[in-house]
Amino acid sequence: MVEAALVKDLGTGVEQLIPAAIADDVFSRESQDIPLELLHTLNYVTQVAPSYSLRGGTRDILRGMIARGLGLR
Amino acid sequence: MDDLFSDALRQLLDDQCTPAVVRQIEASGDGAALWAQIDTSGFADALVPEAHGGAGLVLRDVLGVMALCGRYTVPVPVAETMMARSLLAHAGVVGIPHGSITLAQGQRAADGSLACAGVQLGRVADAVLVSDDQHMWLLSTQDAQRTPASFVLDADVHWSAQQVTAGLQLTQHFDMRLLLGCINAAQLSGALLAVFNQTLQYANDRVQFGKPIGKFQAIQHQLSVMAEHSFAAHMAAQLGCASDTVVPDRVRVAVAKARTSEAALEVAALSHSIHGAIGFTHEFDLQLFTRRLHAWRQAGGAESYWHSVLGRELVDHRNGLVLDLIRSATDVTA
Repeated sequence: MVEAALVKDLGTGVEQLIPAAIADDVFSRESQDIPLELLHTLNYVTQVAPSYSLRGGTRDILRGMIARGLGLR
Repeated sequence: MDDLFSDALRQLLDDQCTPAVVRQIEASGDGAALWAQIDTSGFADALVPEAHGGAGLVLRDVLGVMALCGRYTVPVPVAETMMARSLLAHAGVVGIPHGSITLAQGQRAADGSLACAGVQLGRVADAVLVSDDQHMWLLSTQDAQRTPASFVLDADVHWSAQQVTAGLQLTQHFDMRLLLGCINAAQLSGALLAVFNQTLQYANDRVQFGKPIGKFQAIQHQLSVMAEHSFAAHMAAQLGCASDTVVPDRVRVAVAKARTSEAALEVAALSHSIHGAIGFTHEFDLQLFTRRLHAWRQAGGAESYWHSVLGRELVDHRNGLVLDLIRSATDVTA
């Protein structure tokens, strides 16, 4: 169970980083030629990304489980 | 928000720019009624010289106004019109049109037509002040071809060669990314504060496991980080507007837009996290703000764009002397 919590918390971080990193790249270019499909996908993913952390327990719950697994609780 | 000028706008927005009005304008794309209210109040003429009938203010005087546009998620281009009218007045244009004007960087095609991608508030603006590397044009959006862009109130706008020729052409040109960077940094500072306040309120109200979630240390730490970013962003936005003319300083805008954009990302994520990973659905007001945190982070150049501007300045013009660059950028009396 601790293993699952470790992977889930790390995975949430990656899932939320991906749209943020893509947006930083795309909107830091001089060229404005950004495919509309990419923009729409980015927009959708950016808006729903907060919900990714919800499935299987919020990050705080997961970190509590990890702390328990480490013998801290 | 500490001066009489922005206090008057705050009262107006409190009455006229409620979340219900913002939702309605986002759905209809028609911001004419709200625009009329704001324009009548004179705020859009704040940066126009007194000789041209404006308030004759400079950029540092209007940070509060622009931050309020963020705090109230104002869905019409107030800050942009303020800037555009000032540029037009300084360029000697008489009889500036009454409608709202947004700003955009454009590219003129070989056939003389003009295309602008992702024009901020392009769906609701009456006109766009477009600049390329040589000229500026004031072009009406009425007959232009407008297609949806990534943010709901933005639009990709295309003018035919004939429409460009019919528009008002100016011999000056401006780096619109600089002006939009400054405006968006200021708007972000207001929106960040609003998101922080809403989230703090939610943490105090929402009871779970027998007590308000704000009593849990994990939530307290997250709110502390939100506060750090919100206030750092506010100071950065102040720096971005530290100019005694209507045109901002490029290095200061680089600091302001990079820092506020960085804060936008962190604060948006933390606010939804504290709301229990909700707040992005239609009925929550939080999404009105966090959608803008992302949109404004992207508008006028995201972090890496402005980091590169600062990096080039440091290496090419300041001999790599970091402290000297920081001193000159932050000494706002200079």
